[in-house]
Amino acid sequence: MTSTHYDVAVIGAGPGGYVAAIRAAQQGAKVAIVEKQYMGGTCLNVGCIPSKAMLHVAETLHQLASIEDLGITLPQPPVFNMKKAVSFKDKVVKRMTGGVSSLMKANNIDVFDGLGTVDISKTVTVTKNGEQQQFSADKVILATGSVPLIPPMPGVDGDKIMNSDTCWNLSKTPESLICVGGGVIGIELACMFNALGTQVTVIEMLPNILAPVDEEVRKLLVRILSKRGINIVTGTKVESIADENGQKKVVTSTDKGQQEFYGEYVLMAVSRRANIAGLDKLIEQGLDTDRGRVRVNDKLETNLPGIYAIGDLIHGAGLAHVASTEGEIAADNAIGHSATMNYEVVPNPIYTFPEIAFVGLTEAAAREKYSDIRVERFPWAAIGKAVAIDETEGFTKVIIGKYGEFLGAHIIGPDATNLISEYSLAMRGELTVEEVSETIHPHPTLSEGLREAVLAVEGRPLHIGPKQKQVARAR
Amino acid sequence: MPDVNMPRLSDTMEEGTITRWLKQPGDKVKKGEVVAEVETDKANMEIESFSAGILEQILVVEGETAPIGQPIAIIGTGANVQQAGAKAAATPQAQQAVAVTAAAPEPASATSTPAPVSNGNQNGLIKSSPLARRMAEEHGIELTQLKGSGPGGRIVRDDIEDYLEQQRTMTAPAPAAAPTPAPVAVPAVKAATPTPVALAEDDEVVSLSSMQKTIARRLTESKQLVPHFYIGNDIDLTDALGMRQKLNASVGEGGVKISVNDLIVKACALALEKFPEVNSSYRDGQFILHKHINIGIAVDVPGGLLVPVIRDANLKGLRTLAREAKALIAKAQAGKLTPTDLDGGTFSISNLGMMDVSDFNAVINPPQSAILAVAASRKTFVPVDNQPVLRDIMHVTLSADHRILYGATVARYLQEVKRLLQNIYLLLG
Ligand SMILES: Cc1cc2nc3c(=O)[nH]c(=O)nc-3n(C[C@H](O)[C@H](O)[C@H](O)COP(=O)(O)OP(=O)(O)OC[C@H]3O[C@@H](n4cnc5c(N)ncnc54)[C@H](O)[C@@H]3O)c2cc1C
Repeated sequence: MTSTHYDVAVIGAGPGGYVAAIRAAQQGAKVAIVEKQYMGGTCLNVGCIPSKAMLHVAETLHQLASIEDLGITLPQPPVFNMKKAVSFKDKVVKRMTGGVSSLMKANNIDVFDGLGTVDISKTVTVTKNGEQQQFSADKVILATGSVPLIPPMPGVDGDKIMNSDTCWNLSKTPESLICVGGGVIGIELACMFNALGTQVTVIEMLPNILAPVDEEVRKLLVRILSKRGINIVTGTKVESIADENGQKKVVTSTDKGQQEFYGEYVLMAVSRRANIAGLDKLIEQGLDTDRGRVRVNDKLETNLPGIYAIGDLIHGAGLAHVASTEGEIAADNAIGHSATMNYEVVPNPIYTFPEIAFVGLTEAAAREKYSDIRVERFPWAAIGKAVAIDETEGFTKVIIGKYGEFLGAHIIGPDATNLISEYSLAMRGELTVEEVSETIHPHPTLSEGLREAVLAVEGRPLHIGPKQKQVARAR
Repeated sequence: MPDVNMPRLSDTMEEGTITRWLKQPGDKVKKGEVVAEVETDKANMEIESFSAGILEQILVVEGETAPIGQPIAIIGTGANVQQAGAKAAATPQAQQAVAVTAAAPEPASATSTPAPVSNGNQNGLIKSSPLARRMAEEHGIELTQLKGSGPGGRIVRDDIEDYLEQQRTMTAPAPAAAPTPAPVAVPAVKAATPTPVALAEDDEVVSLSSMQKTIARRLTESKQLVPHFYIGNDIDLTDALGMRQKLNASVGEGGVKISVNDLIVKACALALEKFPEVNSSYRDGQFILHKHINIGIAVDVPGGLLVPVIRDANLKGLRTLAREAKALIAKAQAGKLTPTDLDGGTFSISNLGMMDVSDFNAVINPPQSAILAVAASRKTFVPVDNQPVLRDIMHVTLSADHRILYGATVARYLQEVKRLLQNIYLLLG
């Protein structure tokens, strides 16, 4: 039974909103959550989860190319069926979103299906198919997330132009694709389509793809992806899109002049913008925003009393786990605690193959900030487990401060996104190199590489000679 | 089961702080073997075990204080070995710490930073991150001085940085805005902890001994808490040196010679009889005048400084003073001073005259209120009846606690010391 008054109302059921709702309910609050489209938000429906399901398919296919080496013979190339892959992805999504719904039920959270609008008195109106419901709340947490940003340019609303909301249900693999934007989403999708058999071009306006990634790591990834046939074009701005001879024509400009690219599809992955559908009334009533995002303090309070904002709606990392942590903090504050958000240790996963993960500062940023740092790397080629699973590309790189503390850690290689947590824990727990080097790591595992990088900082890596080390450095 | 109790190591000792356990639970202990180091009000001492066996439990952990007589460890057969602090949780202090931690509403989220809570000193370890410990070590910060703001009251990097920042802002004291006309100019005092020292690769890092740590802490406290002021005077030592020579010439082989320092000790002691205010301590808003005049003499020892005490120096003859001083200095240098030797000083003298020092200021040795810094005596032309005459002139500087002592008193006291040393027969009483 729904009610007319709640302790906490949450608008949006993405990883920010649904976690906030659970957290508040766990502590005894009466909670409502409003979702207009899909439980689990971007993350579970068109973001993290479907992309990882499809990347899993793509990576498997990629690995099959060299399966002969392992003594297994398959028809080459293996037969790939996009429709079946999509239905695998759908099953994954369904299972995960169903999980969110049952979590809401289990925590006695009332779910309202419809578009929620809020006003300054914290009255929430839920609209669905012209019908309205209303309730009031002591505290409101805004978690309306983000949507793909489609920059205005000629031809951008044409046929066969996809974005990260609409690229998941293709019935067959595109012949070719021009991905506009070389950020994390663009590069993950480029990597995926390339492995599924699409001819991919990435066009990035900035001088580099994956701008926030450590330079050395980025360079290696660019080399690997280029070798696979992905055409990465940087420092190039897309001006317009048109149709020509049944193909999409993308017209770009650089310092040197105009250029044209052709492909079956265009994927727009330039950026995302905050989703303020349903918030216009609040904004009219004075909700403070900054460059299109809601402004909050470190307790995630907006300028309007009793109203919090979290996740992609505010300025931040644009990551699901950050949205969720913000949800926990906002919920704690909404029910009377005093918690603050700390963004110092945020792990960043990138699901290309090889994967990339990093936490803390890049080497360049660390050099700018501190005069006294040590940087070391350790290659996967010297780790038994990596050799055994035939994934020896990449390395682990640590950036250490003068007290032996971790300033940053960067991994490119197998399972990087799981491995990074050891370094995150070390940073958050303020461990120093000693605690990591003195910890026994199981053999044979990839985690040994994390310890070896730290041993290298101490000048005593075990599984690499002094000469090899220089080679690894020179890269 | 035999307990090791906090021993009484000096007359005035009420409690002792364990600075280091030399034995850990499970270790074998012989009778008479040193098990721990303890710091009393006066000195760092060792605690010996009165029984043999296995150290089963440490009840008072490093950094904690126990009153005399309280059990600090259990020595037994080894059947009940427990890790440090296991029982310490039962002491009221520890219990309180636990209660404080539990009472603080603590959002369990990893990134939330709860309001600072008092540092739960559980399990005998100060809750602190490895990074915080490293930084503290490098900057010579005692973690016990800090409150942790991390999860569960853990001391984290921020706390150390805040502390360092605080220290940095506590630079040279503001000029004394005294309501009474300031009697003396106070030399600028440098902050105890200036900007952190960047370690060069070839710098050697030496950990402080327990004695050095105590010195560091006490003198830091003194400089930070005691408003020092300094008054200097020149003393004509010509006659005193002449008499000393005569006195020493008559002792012959094996007799105790009187040093210049002995003369100064005697003069200071007699002057204190006349100026009892200077023989004093400040304590909690009270001015404490000491009846006995016990003079501490600073002795440099390998890796530090000790201040053994000559009791009732005003009542002792010069020869007795000289004998006692000689014995104390020898004991200090041999590392054999007992707490009684170090106890109860009411005034101190630091003499660097033999190192040809022209003048210096000494740091007060709390709770005493004054210390005399003695420089070298030098042949100097001084006007006598308007004629330049060569005399032995010695510069002295008295550092005094401005909470209880004022310029005029100290200046007069110093005049009295000067009068006694310049009229040396007055010391022979
Ligand atoms: C392709 C892709 C891959 C990604 N991969 C990763 C990854 O691997 N790791 C990672 O950490 N992050 C990833 N992200 C980012 C991640 O999805 C977002 O950071 C995360 O979803 C943000 O969570 P949120 O709760 O703030 O918002 P959202 O997930 O966007 O959820 C907001 C929800 O609010 C609803 N809503 C909006 N307005 C209203 C309203 N007025 N009334 C009712 N409901 C409303 C929306 O329908 C939506 O369900 C990826 C994103 C994309 C697009």
